Amino acid sequence: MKPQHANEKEIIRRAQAGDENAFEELIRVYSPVLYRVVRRMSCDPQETESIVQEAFWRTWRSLGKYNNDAPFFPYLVTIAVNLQRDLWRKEQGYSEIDVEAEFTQVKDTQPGPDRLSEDREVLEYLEDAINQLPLIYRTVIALRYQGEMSYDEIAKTLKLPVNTVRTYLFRAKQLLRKHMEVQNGQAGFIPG
Amino acid sequence: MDRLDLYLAKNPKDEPPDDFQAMVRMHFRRRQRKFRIIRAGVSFSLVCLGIFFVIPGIANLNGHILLPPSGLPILENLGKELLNLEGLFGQSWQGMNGLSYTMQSSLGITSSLGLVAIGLGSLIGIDSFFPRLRA
Repeated sequence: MKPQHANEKEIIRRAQAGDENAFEELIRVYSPVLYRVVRRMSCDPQETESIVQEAFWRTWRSLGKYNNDAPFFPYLVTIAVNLQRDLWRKEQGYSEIDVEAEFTQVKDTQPGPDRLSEDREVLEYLEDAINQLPLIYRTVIALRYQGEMSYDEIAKTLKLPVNTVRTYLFRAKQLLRKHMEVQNGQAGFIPG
Repeated sequence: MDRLDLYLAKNPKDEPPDDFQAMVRMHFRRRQRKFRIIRAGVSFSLVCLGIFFVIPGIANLNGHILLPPSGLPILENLGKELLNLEGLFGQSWQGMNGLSYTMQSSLGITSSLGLVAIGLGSLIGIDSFFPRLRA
Protein backbone atom coordinates (compact mmCIF):
# COMPACT_ATOMS: atom_id res chain seq x y z
CA MET A 1 0.00 0.00 0.00
CA LYS A 2 1.42 3.37 -0.99
CA PRO A 3 1.97 5.39 2.19
CA GLN A 4 0.21 8.63 2.75
CA HIS A 5 0.17 10.71 5.87
CA ALA A 6 -3.22 11.65 7.27
CA ASN A 7 -2.38 15.37 7.30
CA GLU A 8 -0.09 15.27 4.30
CA LYS A 9 -1.21 18.58 2.81
CA GLU A 10 -0.76 20.36 6.12
CA ILE A 11 2.68 18.80 6.64
CA ILE A 12 3.78 19.76 3.14
CA ARG A 13 2.49 23.29 3.68
CA ARG A 14 4.56 23.51 6.87
CA ALA A 15 7.60 22.09 5.09
CA GLN A 16 7.15 24.62 2.30
CA ALA A 17 7.19 27.31 4.98
CA GLY A 18 10.62 26.05 6.08
CA ASP A 19 9.65 23.71 8.92
CA GLU A 20 12.40 21.09 8.95
CA ASN A 21 10.54 18.82 11.37
CA ALA A 22 7.62 18.64 8.95
CA PHE A 23 9.97 17.65 6.15
CA GLU A 24 11.54 14.99 8.36
CA GLU A 25 8.06 13.59 8.84
CA LEU A 26 7.77 13.30 5.05
CA ILE A 27 11.14 11.53 5.01
CA ARG A 28 9.87 9.12 7.65
CA VAL A 29 6.78 8.30 5.61
CA TYR A 30 8.24 8.16 2.11
CA SER A 31 11.86 7.01 2.45
CA PRO A 32 11.10 3.24 2.61
CA VAL A 33 8.92 3.23 -0.51
CA LEU A 34 11.29 5.50 -2.39
CA TYR A 35 14.14 3.17 -1.42
CA ARG A 36 12.25 0.18 -2.86
CA VAL A 37 11.62 2.01 -6.16
CA VAL A 38 15.20 3.21 -6.57
CA ARG A 39 16.61 -0.14 -5.43
CA ARG A 40 14.67 -1.88 -8.18
CA MET A 41 16.12 0.54 -10.73
CA SER A 42 19.71 0.73 -9.56
CA CYS A 43 20.49 -2.81 -8.25
CA ASP A 44 23.17 -1.40 -5.95
CA PRO A 45 22.23 -0.74 -2.30
CA GLN A 46 24.85 2.00 -1.76
CA GLU A 47 23.93 3.80 -4.94
CA THR A 48 20.28 3.51 -3.90
CA GLU A 49 20.96 5.12 -0.53
CA SER A 50 22.80 8.07 -2.01
CA ILE A 51 20.13 8.62 -4.67
CA VAL A 52 17.36 8.59 -2.06
CA GLN A 53 19.27 11.05 0.13
CA GLU A 54 19.96 13.37 -2.79
CA ALA A 55 16.34 13.11 -3.96
CA PHE A 56 15.06 14.21 -0.57
CA TRP A 57 17.54 17.08 -0.44
CA ARG A 58 16.58 18.31 -3.91
CA THR A 59 12.91 17.97 -3.03
CA TRP A 60 13.49 20.14 0.06
CA ARG A 61 15.29 22.78 -2.01
CA SER A 62 12.56 22.84 -4.68
CA LEU A 63 9.58 22.50 -2.38
CA GLY A 64 8.58 26.10 -3.11
CA LYS A 65 7.77 25.10 -6.71
CA TYR A 66 5.63 22.12 -5.67
CA ASN A 67 1.89 22.49 -6.18
CA ASN A 68 0.27 21.30 -2.96
CA ASP A 69 -2.84 20.04 -4.80
CA ALA A 70 -0.87 17.38 -6.71
CA PRO A 71 0.10 14.09 -5.03
CA PHE A 72 3.50 14.32 -3.35
CA PHE A 73 4.93 10.87 -4.06
CA PRO A 74 5.08 11.19 -7.89
CA TYR A 75 6.83 14.55 -7.41
CA LEU A 76 9.44 12.91 -5.19
CA VAL A 77 9.82 9.92 -7.51
CA THR A 78 10.29 12.18 -10.54
CA ILE A 79 13.28 13.79 -8.84
CA ALA A 80 14.72 10.37 -7.93
CA VAL A 81 14.19 8.99 -11.44
CA ASN A 82 15.92 12.02 -12.96
CA LEU A 83 18.86 11.50 -10.63
CA GLN A 84 19.02 7.83 -11.57
CA ARG A 85 18.86 8.66 -15.28
CA ASP A 86 21.66 11.21 -14.93
CA LEU A 87 23.77 8.58 -13.24
CA TRP A 88 23.04 6.04 -15.97
CA ARG A 89 23.86 8.58 -18.65
CA LYS A 90 27.17 9.30 -16.94
CA GLU A 91 28.03 5.66 -16.42
CA GLN A 92 26.57 3.83 -19.39
CA GLY A 93 25.50 6.35 -21.98
CA TYR A 94 21.81 5.74 -21.26
CA SER A 95 19.45 6.64 -24.07
CA GLU A 96 15.76 5.92 -24.44
CA ILE A 97 16.29 5.36 -28.18
CA ASP A 98 18.29 2.24 -27.31
CA VAL A 99 15.25 0.51 -25.85
CA GLU A 100 14.28 -1.34 -29.01
CA ALA A 101 17.84 -2.53 -29.53
CA GLU A 102 18.15 -3.63 -25.92
CA PHE A 103 14.87 -5.51 -26.19
CA THR A 104 16.53 -8.17 -28.31
CA GLN A 105 19.73 -8.28 -26.29
CA VAL A 106 18.57 -10.03 -23.15
CA LYS A 107 21.13 -12.70 -22.40
CA ASP A 108 20.07 -16.23 -23.26
CA THR A 109 21.92 -17.99 -20.48
CA GLN A 110 22.22 -21.74 -20.32
CA PRO A 111 19.42 -23.56 -18.52
CA GLY A 112 20.31 -24.11 -14.90
CA PRO A 113 19.64 -27.24 -12.89
CA ASP A 114 16.02 -28.19 -12.63
CA ARG A 115 15.22 -26.50 -9.34
CA LEU A 116 12.06 -26.42 -7.35
CA SER A 117 9.90 -23.40 -8.05
CA GLU A 118 9.64 -22.28 -4.47
CA ASP A 119 8.97 -18.64 -3.83
CA ARG A 120 12.51 -17.89 -2.73
CA GLU A 121 14.03 -19.43 -5.81
CA VAL A 122 11.54 -17.78 -8.13
CA LEU A 123 12.41 -14.45 -6.56
CA GLU A 124 16.09 -15.13 -7.14
CA TYR A 125 15.47 -15.91 -10.80
CA LEU A 126 13.31 -12.84 -11.03
CA GLU A 127 15.98 -10.64 -9.46
CA ASP A 128 18.49 -11.89 -12.01
CA ALA A 129 16.03 -11.42 -14.86
CA ILE A 130 15.13 -7.87 -13.81
CA ASN A 131 18.78 -6.89 -13.60
CA GLN A 132 19.19 -7.86 -17.23
CA LEU A 133 16.26 -5.79 -18.46
CA PRO A 134 16.79 -2.58 -20.39
CA LEU A 135 16.93 0.37 -18.01
CA ILE A 136 13.66 1.96 -19.06
CA TYR A 137 11.79 -1.32 -18.52
CA ARG A 138 13.33 -1.66 -15.08
CA THR A 139 12.21 1.88 -14.28
CA VAL A 140 8.64 1.20 -15.41
CA ILE A 141 8.54 -2.00 -13.31
CA ALA A 142 9.93 -0.17 -10.27
CA LEU A 143 7.36 2.60 -10.51
CA ARG A 144 4.49 0.20 -11.13
CA TYR A 145 5.25 -2.50 -8.56
CA GLN A 146 7.44 -0.88 -5.91
CA GLY A 147 5.99 2.63 -6.21
CA GLU A 148 2.44 1.36 -6.79
CA MET A 149 1.87 4.17 -9.27
CA SER A 150 -0.88 4.27 -11.88
CA TYR A 151 -0.08 4.19 -15.61
CA ASP A 152 -0.99 7.85 -15.74
CA GLU A 153 1.37 8.77 -12.92
CA ILE A 154 4.19 6.74 -14.50
CA ALA A 155 3.58 8.43 -17.84
CA LYS A 156 3.79 11.88 -16.23
CA THR A 157 6.89 10.96 -14.25
CA LEU A 158 8.77 9.59 -17.27
CA LYS A 159 7.25 12.12 -19.70
CA LEU A 160 5.98 9.32 -21.94
CA PRO A 161 2.53 8.66 -23.48
CA VAL A 162 0.38 6.33 -21.35
CA ASN A 163 0.22 3.75 -24.15
CA THR A 164 4.01 3.63 -24.34
CA VAL A 165 4.11 2.92 -20.62
CA ARG A 166 1.63 0.07 -21.11
CA THR A 167 3.70 -1.31 -23.98
CA TYR A 168 6.95 -1.10 -22.00
CA LEU A 169 5.40 -2.88 -19.06
CA PHE A 170 3.93 -5.60 -21.28
CA ARG A 171 7.26 -6.15 -23.03
CA ALA A 172 9.16 -6.10 -19.77
CA LYS A 173 6.95 -8.85 -18.38
CA GLN A 174 7.28 -10.84 -21.61
CA LEU A 175 11.06 -10.59 -21.35
CA LEU A 176 11.02 -11.59 -17.70
CA ARG A 177 8.95 -14.68 -18.47
CA LYS A 178 11.21 -15.62 -21.36
CA HIS A 179 14.37 -15.10 -19.33
CA MET A 180 13.08 -17.09 -16.38
CA GLU A 181 11.99 -19.95 -18.60
CA VAL A 182 15.44 -20.08 -20.16
CA GLN A 183 17.06 -19.94 -16.72
CA ASN A 184 14.88 -22.65 -15.30
CA GLY A 185 14.65 -24.78 -18.40
CA GLN A 186 10.88 -25.06 -18.09
CA ALA A 187 8.33 -23.71 -20.51
CA GLY A 188 5.64 -21.73 -18.72
CA PHE A 189 7.73 -21.46 -15.56
CA ILE A 190 5.59 -18.53 -14.51
CA PRO A 191 2.27 -18.80 -16.25
CA GLY A 192 0.44 -15.64 -17.20
CA MET B 1 -3.13 -9.70 -11.56
CA ASP B 2 -1.13 -12.83 -12.49
CA ARG B 3 1.57 -14.70 -10.59
CA LEU B 4 4.36 -12.64 -12.12
CA ASP B 5 2.68 -9.47 -10.84
CA LEU B 6 2.63 -10.96 -7.34
CA TYR B 7 6.30 -11.91 -7.53
CA LEU B 8 7.20 -8.48 -8.87
CA ALA B 9 5.32 -6.76 -6.07
CA LYS B 10 7.02 -8.69 -3.25
CA ASN B 11 10.74 -8.93 -3.03
CA PRO B 12 12.43 -8.93 0.37
CA LYS B 13 15.69 -7.76 -1.21
CA ASP B 14 14.05 -4.43 -1.97
CA GLU B 15 13.54 -3.66 1.72
CA PRO B 16 15.61 -0.78 3.12
CA PRO B 17 17.99 -1.31 6.05
CA ASP B 18 16.41 -0.96 9.52
CA ASP B 19 17.96 2.43 10.29
CA PHE B 20 17.38 3.83 6.82
CA GLN B 21 14.81 6.50 7.78
CA ALA B 22 17.06 7.76 10.57
CA MET B 23 20.02 7.78 8.19
CA VAL B 24 18.18 9.89 5.59
CA ARG B 25 16.92 12.26 8.29
CA MET B 26 20.43 12.67 9.70
CA HIS B 27 21.84 13.28 6.23
CA PHE B 28 19.16 15.92 5.63
CA ARG B 29 19.87 17.65 8.95
CA ARG B 30 23.64 17.65 8.39
CA ARG B 31 23.29 19.05 4.89
CA GLN B 32 20.80 21.68 5.98
CA ARG B 33 23.16 22.81 8.77
CA LYS B 34 26.06 23.06 6.31
CA PHE B 35 23.91 24.96 3.84
CA ARG B 36 22.77 27.40 6.53
CA ILE B 37 26.37 28.03 7.68
CA ILE B 38 27.44 28.75 4.09
CA ARG B 39 24.53 31.15 3.61
CA ALA B 40 25.24 32.89 6.91
CA GLY B 41 28.88 33.26 5.84
CA VAL B 42 27.92 34.71 2.46
CA SER B 43 25.40 37.04 4.09
CA PHE B 44 27.92 38.29 6.70
CA SER B 45 30.62 38.79 4.05
CA LEU B 46 28.29 40.77 1.81
CA VAL B 47 27.15 43.02 4.66
CA CYS B 48 30.78 43.63 5.75
CA LEU B 49 31.84 44.37 2.17
CA GLY B 50 28.86 46.71 1.78
CA ILE B 51 29.72 48.60 4.97
CA PHE B 52 33.35 48.85 3.86
CA PHE B 53 32.23 50.46 0.59
CA VAL B 54 29.54 52.69 2.07
CA ILE B 55 31.30 54.21 5.08
CA PRO B 56 33.62 56.58 3.14
CA GLY B 57 30.66 57.80 1.10
CA ILE B 58 28.55 58.39 4.22
CA ALA B 59 31.42 60.29 5.88
CA ASN B 60 31.76 62.45 2.78
CA LEU B 61 28.01 63.01 2.67
CA ASN B 62 28.01 64.06 6.32
CA GLY B 63 30.36 66.92 5.49
CA HIS B 64 28.03 68.22 2.76
CA ILE B 65 24.77 68.36 4.67
CA LEU B 66 24.09 71.68 6.35
CA LEU B 67 21.66 71.32 9.18
CA PRO B 68 19.66 74.37 10.34
CA PRO B 69 20.87 75.67 13.71
CA SER B 70 17.58 75.22 15.45
CA GLY B 71 14.10 74.05 14.55
CA LEU B 72 12.42 76.77 16.66
CA PRO B 73 12.30 79.56 14.00
CA ILE B 74 10.71 77.08 11.61
CA LEU B 75 8.01 76.28 14.14
CA GLU B 76 7.47 79.99 14.93
CA ASN B 77 7.01 80.83 11.27
CA LEU B 78 5.00 77.70 10.49
CA GLY B 79 1.69 79.58 10.49
CA LYS B 80 2.97 82.15 7.99
CA GLU B 81 4.60 79.47 5.87
CA LEU B 82 1.41 77.48 5.70
CA LEU B 83 -0.45 80.50 4.38
CA ASN B 84 2.14 80.86 1.64
CA LEU B 85 1.65 77.37 0.11
CA GLU B 86 3.39 78.23 -3.13
CA GLY B 87 6.53 79.30 -1.32
CA LEU B 88 6.40 76.24 0.95
CA PHE B 89 6.15 73.92 -2.05
CA GLY B 90 9.05 75.67 -3.77
CA GLN B 91 11.21 75.41 -0.69
CA SER B 92 10.43 71.73 -0.22
CA TRP B 93 11.14 70.94 -3.86
CA GLN B 94 14.42 72.84 -3.71
CA GLY B 95 15.39 71.01 -0.51
CA MET B 96 14.67 67.57 -1.97
CA ASN B 97 16.59 68.36 -5.14
CA GLY B 98 19.52 69.56 -3.07
CA LEU B 99 19.51 66.42 -0.96
CA SER B 100 19.32 64.21 -4.04
CA TYR B 101 22.21 66.08 -5.72
CA THR B 102 24.31 65.97 -2.56
CA MET B 103 23.75 62.23 -2.15
CA GLN B 104 24.53 61.50 -5.79
CA SER B 105 27.72 63.53 -5.81
CA SER B 106 28.93 62.22 -2.46
CA LEU B 107 28.00 58.54 -2.58
CA GLY B 108 29.18 57.64 -6.06
CA ILE B 109 29.30 54.21 -7.66
CA THR B 110 31.27 52.46 -4.91
CA SER B 111 28.87 53.46 -2.18
CA SER B 112 25.88 52.50 -4.30
CA LEU B 113 27.39 49.08 -4.84
CA GLY B 114 27.99 48.90 -1.10
CA LEU B 115 24.33 49.64 -0.43
CA VAL B 116 23.31 46.89 -2.87
CA ALA B 117 25.69 44.45 -1.15
CA ILE B 118 24.26 45.32 2.28
CA GLY B 119 20.71 44.84 0.98
CA LEU B 120 21.52 41.52 -0.67
CA GLY B 121 23.43 40.26 2.37
CA SER B 122 20.57 41.24 4.67
CA LEU B 123 18.02 39.47 2.47
CA ILE B 124 20.09 36.26 2.37
CA GLY B 125 20.52 36.47 6.15
CA ILE B 126 16.81 36.99 6.75
CA ASP B 127 15.97 34.13 4.37
CA SER B 128 18.31 31.71 6.13
CA PHE B 129 17.37 32.54 9.68
CA PHE B 130 13.65 33.22 9.21
CA PRO B 131 12.62 30.90 6.34
CA ARG B 132 9.01 30.98 7.49
CA LEU B 133 8.71 34.56 6.23
CA ARG B 134 8.68 33.07 2.72
CA ALA B 135 5.30 31.43 3.31
